[in-house]
Amino acid sequence: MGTIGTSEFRKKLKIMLDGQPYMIVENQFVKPGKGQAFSRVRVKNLLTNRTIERTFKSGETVEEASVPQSEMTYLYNDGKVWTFMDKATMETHEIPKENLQGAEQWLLDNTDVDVTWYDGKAIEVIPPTFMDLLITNAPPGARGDTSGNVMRECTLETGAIVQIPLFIDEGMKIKVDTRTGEYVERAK
Amino acid sequence: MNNQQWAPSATIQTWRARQGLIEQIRSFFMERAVLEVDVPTLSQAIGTDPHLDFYETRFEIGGAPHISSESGLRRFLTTSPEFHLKRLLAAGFPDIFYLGKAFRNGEAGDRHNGEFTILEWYRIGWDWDQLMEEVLNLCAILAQKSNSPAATLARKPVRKITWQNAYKVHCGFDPLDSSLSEIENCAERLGLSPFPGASREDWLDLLMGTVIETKLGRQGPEFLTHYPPAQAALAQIEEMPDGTHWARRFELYWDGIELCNGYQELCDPMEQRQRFEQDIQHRELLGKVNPVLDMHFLAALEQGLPACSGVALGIDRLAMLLLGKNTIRDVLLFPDARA
Repeated sequence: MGTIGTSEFRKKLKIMLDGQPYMIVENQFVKPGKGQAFSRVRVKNLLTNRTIERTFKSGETVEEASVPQSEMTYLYNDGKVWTFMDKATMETHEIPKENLQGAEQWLLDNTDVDVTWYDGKAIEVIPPTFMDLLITNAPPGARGDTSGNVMRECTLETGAIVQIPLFIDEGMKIKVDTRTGEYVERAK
Repeated sequence: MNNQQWAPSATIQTWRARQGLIEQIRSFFMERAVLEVDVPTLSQAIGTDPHLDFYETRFEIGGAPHISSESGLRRFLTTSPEFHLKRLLAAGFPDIFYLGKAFRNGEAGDRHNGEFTILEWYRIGWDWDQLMEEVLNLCAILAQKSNSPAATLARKPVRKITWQNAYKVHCGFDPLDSSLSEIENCAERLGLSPFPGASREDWLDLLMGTVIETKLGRQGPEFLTHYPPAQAALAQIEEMPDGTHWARRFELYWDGIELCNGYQELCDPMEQRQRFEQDIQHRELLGKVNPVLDMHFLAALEQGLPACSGVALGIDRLAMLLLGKNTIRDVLLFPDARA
């Protein structure tokens, strides 16, 4: 990990600010007429998820954050701790539920995830963008309503609760976007 | 899957419309007997603006790097055609324009691309008011066929605001006598995030780029005029009746975008040399590489630059405004990331 200048700033770059790791969410280059140039960035704190704004003079440098990523496979959980296996080293790692930040609701046994580490701790667990999951419970909808966009709640095999259209029923598999938690289509 | 970058960034339709503007610009100048000229984009010397960074290379025979550090071997991609155009005027050329490429290192964003197209023209014997009038004429003609939001603005009355008043009106402080802490308070009120260690100059530049510029030219074309002597660049400095000094430099803002920078030109070789030296000291303080001083340009000024006014206009931004595009990438075929 090295020092990085404002000219290398880009979205998703991870940098250290005030001793904490941040990710650049937005980077705006500002240069008035013949005046000096600035980079105005919006950065997300990777530990707290809070977003702040910062201004840098062009040419200023920051330290790149050391946040390695590893591909892991989900094995099992005991309700408090989720256990994963590193696909490269075959080692198992335990990640406390609070660090999963909701990712656990999409995980089936043997689902592959991307885990981001900082200072020995998992700070982000990213499931596959799309998951095909079975509906285990879906109360019947009001069939008479044909106005089109009526949605109702259902529960998936992983425990996630998702809004589905009327023509989808219990026992069907659906494709879900794990970034938004939204129903995409009936799984093929 | 990820290599979508081979394809051009502007659409064929956009490019056609952009070429239409270029043709209109050429006929505008032809009708007014302004001669098109070509100048080097690779040159032996370059401007000293403290905040314009250049691309530098070297002249090498046989592809082998020369050991010599002789400045004569340095070459620069031009940041502006200004010095060459003024050398032509000093050599007796009539009114001239250049429409071609210029390069600025480190500039990349929604309104900046390191390699860009510049239109620059000079009018002998004109003062800055006459030139501002002609800039508006050109913009109005180009806007005729467009129905973009900016084109609609071009049909509204022009406004002018001085550099000092722009800070007073849009930031709520006088840039001449406000203290650093007063400026910081105003910046906080305006919703800017803290900028620890920023100097007065830093804040003034940042507020210009983030607050003032976005508000200029929203009701019609708007000229920002009368820059402080420290930002005169190559403009004449005028003494006002109240004893204050201001540069005859103007910028045109159109729908929040800076489009032009013009001067009633400084013709005095002595003062020009002093400004170069000040710039070089400033660049040293900023820790920047210093350019080779353009001795040909200074010699041309000694020979005699006729009284004139000149202005540069960013063609890519003009195309953005008239074609209703939000980023410079939409009007370039191969912006830096795809170059």
